[in-house]
Amino acid sequence: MNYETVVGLEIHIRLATATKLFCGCANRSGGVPNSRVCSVCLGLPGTLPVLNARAVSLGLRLAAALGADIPEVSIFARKQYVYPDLPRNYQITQWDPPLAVGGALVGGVGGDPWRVPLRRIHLEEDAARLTHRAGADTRIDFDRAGAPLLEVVTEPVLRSGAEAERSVRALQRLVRWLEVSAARPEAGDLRCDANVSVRVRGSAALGSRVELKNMNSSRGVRLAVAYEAMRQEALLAAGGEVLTETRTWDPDRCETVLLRAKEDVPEYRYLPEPDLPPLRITAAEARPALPEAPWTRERRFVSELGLTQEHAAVLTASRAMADLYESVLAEGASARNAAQLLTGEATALARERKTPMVSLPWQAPRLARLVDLIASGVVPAARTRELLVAILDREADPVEEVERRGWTVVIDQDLLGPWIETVLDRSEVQVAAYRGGKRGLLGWFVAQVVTLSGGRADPGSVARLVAARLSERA
Amino acid sequence: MTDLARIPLNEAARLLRTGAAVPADLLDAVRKRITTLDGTLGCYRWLAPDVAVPDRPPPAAAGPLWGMPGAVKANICRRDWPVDCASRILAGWHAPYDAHAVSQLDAAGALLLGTSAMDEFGMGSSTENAYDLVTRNPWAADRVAGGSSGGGAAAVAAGLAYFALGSDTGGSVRQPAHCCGVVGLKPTYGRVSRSGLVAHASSLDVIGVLARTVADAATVFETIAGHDPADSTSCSDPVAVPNVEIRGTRIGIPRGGWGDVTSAEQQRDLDGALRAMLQAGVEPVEVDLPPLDLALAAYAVIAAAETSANLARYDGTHFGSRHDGPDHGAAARAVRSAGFGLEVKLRVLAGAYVLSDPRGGDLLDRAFAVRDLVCRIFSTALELSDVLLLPTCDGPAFRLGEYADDPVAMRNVDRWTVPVSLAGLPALTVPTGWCVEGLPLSCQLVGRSLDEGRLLAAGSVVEAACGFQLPAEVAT
Ligand SMILES: [Zn+2]
Repeated sequence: MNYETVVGLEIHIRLATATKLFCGCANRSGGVPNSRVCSVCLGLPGTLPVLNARAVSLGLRLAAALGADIPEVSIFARKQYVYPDLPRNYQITQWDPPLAVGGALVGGVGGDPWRVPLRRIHLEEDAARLTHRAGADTRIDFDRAGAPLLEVVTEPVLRSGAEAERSVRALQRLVRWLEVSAARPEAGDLRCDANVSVRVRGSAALGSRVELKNMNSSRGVRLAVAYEAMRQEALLAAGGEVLTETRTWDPDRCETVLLRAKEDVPEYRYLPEPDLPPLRITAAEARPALPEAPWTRERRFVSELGLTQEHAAVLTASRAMADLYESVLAEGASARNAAQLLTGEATALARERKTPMVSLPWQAPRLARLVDLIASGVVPAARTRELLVAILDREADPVEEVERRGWTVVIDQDLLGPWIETVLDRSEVQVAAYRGGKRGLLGWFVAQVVTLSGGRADPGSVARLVAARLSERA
Repeated sequence: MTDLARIPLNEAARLLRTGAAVPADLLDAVRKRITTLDGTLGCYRWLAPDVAVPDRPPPAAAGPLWGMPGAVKANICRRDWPVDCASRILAGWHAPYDAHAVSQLDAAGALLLGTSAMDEFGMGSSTENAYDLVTRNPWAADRVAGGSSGGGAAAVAAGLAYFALGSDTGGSVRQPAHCCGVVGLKPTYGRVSRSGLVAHASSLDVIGVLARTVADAATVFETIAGHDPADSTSCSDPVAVPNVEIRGTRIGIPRGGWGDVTSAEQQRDLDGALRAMLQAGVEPVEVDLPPLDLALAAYAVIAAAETSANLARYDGTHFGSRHDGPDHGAAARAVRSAGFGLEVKLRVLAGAYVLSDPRGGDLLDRAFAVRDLVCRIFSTALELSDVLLLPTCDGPAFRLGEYADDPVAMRNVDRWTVPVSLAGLPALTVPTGWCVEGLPLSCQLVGRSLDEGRLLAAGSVVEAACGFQLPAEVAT
């Protein structure tokens, strides 16, 4: 039987606000447990939530960038379930209508476009963090309780773990791009649930839906969805039945594990939140000023600047990267050569220094001059790394640096001649072999000459001169 | 000579201002009565061991609340006080902060004596629903003080406080005021910040005032009302109680009278209040009222739903009474089973039932629809008129234990107060007279949203015309 996987995602993004969603406690992670709590986020008697306006505006930024519809009024509700990670035993979340409806995640704009329509985007508060200690007690850290989350729910249109991963990555790039969230998977800024079902290919009905929880990275989403789809297919193929249940992804064992069966799934008893008036969004608020979207920029890099899809993708991985690239272009560098430099040697150097590429103190005018030097053949490409290091460590100007160190490429026949003679003189065997028909040795001669010149000899000119010289003696 | 503890707040304030008395005199007088009477009456759940009494004369800028001893209902937070809401589940819990209203009283220089008795979490109409304390009516020892703010009402009536803060969800300030013969003001929803008021039913809860005169109620109201950023439902409109000219005011009377009021004495007092107002130049207008039974049903559904959510947090995990259990669920069940009283359990269960919609129904949505209807009908009535004249209750305070076996019937006591709460309108209970059994009766005036000024002005007219007086001494 030929099966097809159907996946919908619920992606929770921790918003980059200074304070929590409903109180003045700092919205950070790490540090001493329970050091960022107050009466409100502990849900003590008599306390009331006060909505963080910054969280709303960040939510609107993302919603607008995704092209979602933003209702004039959205409401908050209490989602009730009893669990020690919820100080009030209900979570304040947006219900119907939510902050935004519809919109889509898009990607692959360079040549293989895809689009994942969204169902809704809403604000909600995070729960506390529980640490279960085997055979002992459970510790509760309320620092996370009340942290502002934005939940993005896709339509169930994804067909594989890879598509799910791609969507999460696209969203991750976008929220960072918009400075809506730091989206650090390791800090739990990005947490995904996935609804996975499989069905016979071509069938219109959906199979029993399994909710997967606890994926903290795009890679985790891919693996979990892929595993779960396999598990369900195997069950069906063996004549079994997939049960509607909630499972959790165990990244260590690389499998999904039953969390609770359908009958144990809580019934949330939603109640409109009487402590928060309906949230009203003005027409102006619903259209925030946004930077050029990453996919728009990516498409422009391909169509207007003639970059390859790969270069365009790398250069729009973050807004800072794209900004750096375009600032180099603004200094007059050629688009393709600048792309080559930034995605090549500059990226490699950053990796070597274990620093994000965009955090290094590049200076656009210097990078632009370096691009020119290499492109025009004035300086040998082999010197690129050293020149980048000089820019970073000594704020050196590449043009001056090349002159000072005498790294200009030599193409002048009078200057190349002596180096060529020296090499030929000490290479009798190879010269004889070449003349005997081993023309492949030409490259070897060139390398010898370039080495002798300290890298300055232009390999093309050397090759031409060596070939002429050897044919002339024969 | 009249007992200093029993004169109205504004009169006592005059004594302080003129130097005829100092705050310690007021405090002593009140404390003397607490010592002799509270063992019988049960007005206070807890008394603060130390009340800082100013030993200097009032500063020039001092208002009438300066140096004035008052009580705070046991569901309104005061830092370090045992604000237990009369529930075993909060026994031993001390509030870590001040309610907004309490901060306002502090700033005005009031002396807060302790927590006043109440029904557990404000659920009840008799102040019998506490795990440990029943308040008795000061004017008849076998009668209830009303509820849920019964302790504060009895304290103000009997001279154990000059004023009291109560809370009113469906009548919990007005009905005990009626039972005890004091003035009870339920402000417009949102007029007084709910910050620090332990939630019962959040869309209905309002902090209100119990006082001996309308002017006293106005004084306390002006002090505690106003915008508070900590309460997103608090109104930002300015608070002012202007001297509203009552002549020309239109008073709304239900078409056909107060039809289903069965107490003849209550009818008599309502007629008397109306006559007094007509003499003051008020014009009568007939208006339609919302269907009371439907409003009562909608209230039961909405209040229960909100209650069940508000009270979900009491599971012994990180505050309040604790209980061990094999797991969190079991421990929470144990804490809640032992900690909540019957009335609270009934409402929590009813709320869970409403919200889980087991019959696939839409109880909550229908209740919200009724609420909208109630609002619309009141809104029309208050376009045709400026203030409505209604009963607070049908007849005097009932007997202790009278509804012990019938909590549903007890809720019917609130049929005249609940619809007003659903609409969030301000209302004022003003004592009108006495029934033959020696218990007070009252009328309820209902104003437009945020129009407490006119409401209080109308209340003063009724007050002056009725000449209501409290007895010289409580019944023991
Ligand atoms: Zn907090």
